Amino acid sequence: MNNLKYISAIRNGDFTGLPIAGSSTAVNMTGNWKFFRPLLKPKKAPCFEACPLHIGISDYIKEFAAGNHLAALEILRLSNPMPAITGRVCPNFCQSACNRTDFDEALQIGNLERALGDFGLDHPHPGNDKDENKTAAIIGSGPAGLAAAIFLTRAGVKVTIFEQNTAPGGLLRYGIPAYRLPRPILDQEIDNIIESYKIELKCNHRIESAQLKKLTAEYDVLIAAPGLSRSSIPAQWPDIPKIKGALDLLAAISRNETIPGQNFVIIGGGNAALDTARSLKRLGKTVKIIYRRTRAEMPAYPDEIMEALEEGLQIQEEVVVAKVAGTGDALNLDLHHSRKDGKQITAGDFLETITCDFLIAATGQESGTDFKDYSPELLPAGDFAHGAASVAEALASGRKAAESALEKFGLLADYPVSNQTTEESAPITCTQLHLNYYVKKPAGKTPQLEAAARNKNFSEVNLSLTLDQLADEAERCFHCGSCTTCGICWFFCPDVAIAINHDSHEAESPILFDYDHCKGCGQCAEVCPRGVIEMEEDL
Amino acid sequence: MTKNHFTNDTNWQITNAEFMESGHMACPGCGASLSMRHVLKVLGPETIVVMPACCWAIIAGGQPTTALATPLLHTPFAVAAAAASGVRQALTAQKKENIQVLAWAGDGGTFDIGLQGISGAAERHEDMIYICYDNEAYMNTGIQQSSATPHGAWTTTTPGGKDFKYAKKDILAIIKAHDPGYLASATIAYPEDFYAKIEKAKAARGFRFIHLLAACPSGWKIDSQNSLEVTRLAVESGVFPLLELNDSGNIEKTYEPENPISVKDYLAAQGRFRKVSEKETELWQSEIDRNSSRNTS
Repeated sequence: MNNLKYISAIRNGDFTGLPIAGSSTAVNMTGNWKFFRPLLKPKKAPCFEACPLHIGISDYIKEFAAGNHLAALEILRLSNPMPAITGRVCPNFCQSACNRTDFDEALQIGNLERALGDFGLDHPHPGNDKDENKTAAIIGSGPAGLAAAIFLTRAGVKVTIFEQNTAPGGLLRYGIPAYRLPRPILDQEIDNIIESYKIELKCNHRIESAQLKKLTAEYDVLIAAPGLSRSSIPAQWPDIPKIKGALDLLAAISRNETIPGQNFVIIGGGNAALDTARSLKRLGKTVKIIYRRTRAEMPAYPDEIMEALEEGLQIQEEVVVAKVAGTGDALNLDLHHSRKDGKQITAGDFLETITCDFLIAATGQESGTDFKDYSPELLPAGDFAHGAASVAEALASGRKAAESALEKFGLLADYPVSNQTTEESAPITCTQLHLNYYVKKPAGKTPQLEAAARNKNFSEVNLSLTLDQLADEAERCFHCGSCTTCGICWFFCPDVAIAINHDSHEAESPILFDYDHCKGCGQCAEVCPRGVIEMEEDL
Repeated sequence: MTKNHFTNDTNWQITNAEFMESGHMACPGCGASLSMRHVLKVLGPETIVVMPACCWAIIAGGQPTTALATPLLHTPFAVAAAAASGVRQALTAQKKENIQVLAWAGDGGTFDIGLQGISGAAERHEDMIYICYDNEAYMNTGIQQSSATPHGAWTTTTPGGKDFKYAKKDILAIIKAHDPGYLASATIAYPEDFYAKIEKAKAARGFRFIHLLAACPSGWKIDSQNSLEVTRLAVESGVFPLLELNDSGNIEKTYEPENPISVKDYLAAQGRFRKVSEKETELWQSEIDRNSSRNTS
């Protein structure tokens, strides 16, 4: 009888009193069970921390990978106004810090930056419409001077740059050879900057220290970024005409001047030594580098040393030039083994005497100016302020000088910065990431010109990859410490208590935790590849 | 659909539709509830779930609530396969062949109590998917040993660890002897492999059997956040290989760990194996090495 009653009740859609469950378990607030709750806590990426310019690398690569190249370029330029240049000449501090190194191979951030930079050559900077009625004079149009100019004009300051040479760029133009930084790229990048930001550039305009006072009176702020444009000649060999500074020679080569002599010996182990040697080799000269320590101790970038060796450059290690004697057109050099004397290196046993047409000193740089007594108004920037360093560091220094000026003007508040700069925490390490669900993928390396083809001309050694070719490389970024809405936490939640907010705006969280039902198991925190989810005691 | 960024196949789209509800009664970090969630994502709403006594009989919620958006038939312990056979016959009579019947049972209801019913259904090639979510003991009733409990494991009925004489029953070999329509072992810690196997089972016909390893934080004496990781270690160590019956009738591995870990590391990650001696660990390791040296069985 009962059975019949049930059947008719079901037919009538009346489930009351029947052993059939009709409502969802979602009415159970299982969130009450938990002792810990998951929270989204973004962290700083190591690349961001390592970069002197603190570029929002993860942010722009996110846009890059999504195919939004223009958006990526804008984020990149926010912190680095000349990516086509740094993408070629930066030693990539970011890449050395990349967490992916511990997994398979570092992300090729330099290549991504370079491709975006080249893309940007056809896309002028947005410039600036503000006018804050302030003026700035900048001495030197190298990376530091240009960076200072850009960051000042972005805030509405009118900038005039004084450049002693015929063209802007400083060491970018007169120090870095064309095979590392092709001149059309350099020209285009700087032209874009000068035009977009309406910077007044006065070339062939050398500023002497006597003029500083006048400039400080004329302009609201004066930034000095004259660089270290000359190689220092070792003090024991003054006034020998056959001994030349590496930077003078590089500048002469940049100006396409005829270089006399055939046999060159270069002393030094930095980038200037290698750049000079490789440039001379391309001009058909015979070149030898003499370095007092071992190759591993050379301060030059490892990539450059490797490329130089591929090109057949001779590097004689642990040797010093003890004596220089001139006989007519040639120089006689007495080579001795290096002897380590504490931190000092002195001449040890005699090795041999060699002959050369010119001895090139690449052992240090000095300022080409005589600025001595800084007026308190003068803000130093670039190599002139902190000693010889990378282009990225020069840019950062120029930006810092601009920021101090803006602070003085009270304009720093609405100054655009990369959105990661406010975080104080230490950058996230590889051990804080969860990489079980990552697949090893080879890095997108730049193809290089064959070594045999390089010595003939100044063609660029590192060839370009297109944006499309780098799409896979952009996908390799771990985005350490920042949520990409990859969905792995959502996938592995046993309580269906995580939702992904794909269209999240900045104010909203990209991950929504349903704390009414989350039991606090912590699996989401354990699988998050980027280490963004943390468990916090639920009180 | 959610595009996933955590597997080989970045074009793999996972449906956003959920057929398992929040608020279910599973313990935090339960591998069985996570497995059900994804099995139903694949099988979809046109599925009838048949469930004997097991953890899930509780997880599904007390009357009048249910955690599943699909019909769910609770049955006595021994008869999941028999009841599922009946449901299938009723659907066939109504010409509803498109509706999948999913028998969903724990290891107790599969390896021990339900075994004769499974054998009968498999013999008749009943058109159903039988999934055993194996948490390696009678967890729901208080962690009693089953024939799926691995040797050495602590349970409340084997307080010194299950005797090493009694190895875990080879359920795949038993079902294979019935010539099933599809046969595989899987775990949700390997999402692509898991989804591929459920998809294949869904597409096949006849009696289809999948053996899922599902971690139980309280029964395995692990922290709830490690449940997935320990399941992964089971596969990486070779204790629970991911297998599938291939077209030529052999069971073969569908996943080979790139850098296999030792059994010792798998055991050390769990409290239930604390009493396994070094000699027993070595014995276990040699069993695995022997098994993995032959690729198929």
